[in-house]
Amino acid sequence: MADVPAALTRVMEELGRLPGIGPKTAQRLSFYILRTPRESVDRLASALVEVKARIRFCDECFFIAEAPRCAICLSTRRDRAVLCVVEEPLDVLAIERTGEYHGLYHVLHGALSPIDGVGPAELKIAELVARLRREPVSEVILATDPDMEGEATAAYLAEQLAPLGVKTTRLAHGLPVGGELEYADELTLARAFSGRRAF
Amino acid sequence: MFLANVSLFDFRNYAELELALERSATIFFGGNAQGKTNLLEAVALTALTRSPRTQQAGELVRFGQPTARVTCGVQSDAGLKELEVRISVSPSTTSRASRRFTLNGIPKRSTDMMGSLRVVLFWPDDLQLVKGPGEGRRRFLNTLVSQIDPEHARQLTRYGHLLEQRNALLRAIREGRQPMEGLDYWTNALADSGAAIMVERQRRLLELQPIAAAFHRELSDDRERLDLRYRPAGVRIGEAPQELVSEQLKVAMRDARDEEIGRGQTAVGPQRDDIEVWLDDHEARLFASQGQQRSAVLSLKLAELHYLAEVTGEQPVLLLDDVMSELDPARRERLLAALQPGPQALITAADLNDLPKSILERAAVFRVDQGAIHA
Repeated sequence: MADVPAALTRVMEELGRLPGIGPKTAQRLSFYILRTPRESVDRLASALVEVKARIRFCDECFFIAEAPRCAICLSTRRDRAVLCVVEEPLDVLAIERTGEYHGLYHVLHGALSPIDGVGPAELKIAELVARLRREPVSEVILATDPDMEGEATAAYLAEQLAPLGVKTTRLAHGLPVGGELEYADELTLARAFSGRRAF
Repeated sequence: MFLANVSLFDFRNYAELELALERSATIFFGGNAQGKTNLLEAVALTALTRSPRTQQAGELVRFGQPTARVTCGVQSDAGLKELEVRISVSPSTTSRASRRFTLNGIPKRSTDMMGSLRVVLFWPDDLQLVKGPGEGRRRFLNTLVSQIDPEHARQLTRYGHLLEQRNALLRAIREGRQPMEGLDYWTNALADSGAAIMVERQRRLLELQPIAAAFHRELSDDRERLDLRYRPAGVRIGEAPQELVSEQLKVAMRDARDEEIGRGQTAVGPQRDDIEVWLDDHEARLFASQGQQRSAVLSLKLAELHYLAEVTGEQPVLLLDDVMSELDPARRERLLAALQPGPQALITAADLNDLPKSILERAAVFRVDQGAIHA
């Protein structure tokens, strides 16, 4: 391969570090940037710098925020007696899109996974316990992913929260809406059966 | 069920192959390293989602190519199904290869592929089934049960994943990187999953046992009694329900906690099970002659074939890789008798002289030469 100027190589390397971007994609993006007008590259660069400078995590729930407290924690229209525990900030956005939930959140920033070196201390669990001691919360909804690591985290949390005497619930498992029964895997179907409700 | 056609693309030494198959026996003969075993491997890969020959899926892709494809047309009572496997190696990370599966064009997870094409494999490696380590016998049972019940395949995958997590945590506790308190969840989840596997193994083995014993009685001219004894690691199953087996596993893990942390490994569970093969009052692994062990292996394989057909109501496809030359004439005849009228069989041989006339007369015969197949 012909020598690539160092400035271009640097862009490829930096882009290649991003999740989901392989070497090929990094190359393509780099050359796209080369072709792009100066102003839009400036816009991208300043957007990146700005997001890092202005966005932080909420001191209370660890969701994304522009101030010490996030917009959800500051809102006066949220039900402060219910707390929904999720793994990632993206999960908050997903739940917010449903418009079904009006309580507060707590973002753990991960799930228990010994293989990845993630134990209770690496998650915002101590912060959750402290928060529940401080705030008058009547229900904690465990909304970690329904995979092994998410289940492990939920089970661990349930155990940690039991002494606090707060009601703990787990998000229901079931069939995807708009899906066809015959395409559901057996585990999902089995859980949907055991979790069935009166109609 | 039977294989109606096989299509290969950049698989091992095959650049491209389209092969239509008859319901009867098909024989592939040719010299070494021409691609006979590769063809059977492709079928096994489609049926079992993993190659029985290698853990490195990347080896399956023809040298220097990015993607291998295997497509099998399977005719069964449920109609014609098309099963496809694609193995891709990315140029930057040669070590990891991705496997993708489709069933009638719909993407599927590997465990959802199981059972659409059921096979019984018989390779030269299987001759070690009785004499070799327990791992081979566990794999024998895993393959058999997973093809009958894909839920078992899912449970095995789940167990493997939980075991990896728990072992990682044991090592982290040993090195002081993680506290002990997280261990209970992984212990409980592992015990529940392990108990489900063990109870299923026990049940299936009890059903397989009389079938294998009957074949062995016949092969030994009524002289030897074969027995299969399940040795679950860390529990006594008997008639115990799954919950009780799970409790036993939890207790065993708690009792072994210090040892487990010291070694960074889970001490009990299905990954340590064994299935002992006994002939009369002796364990065949230790005390049987090579001839007796071969008869026992053949009995197990014939029982696998018979049991799969009985439980599923459909004949599986038999894949015989070069085992005829390893068996004496009497055992060869017994194996071939199982094919009449029985299952479709794909048979490889280095030399047609290794095969009895009776099968040559009614089989389709192909010569395999450097990744090409000639009628």
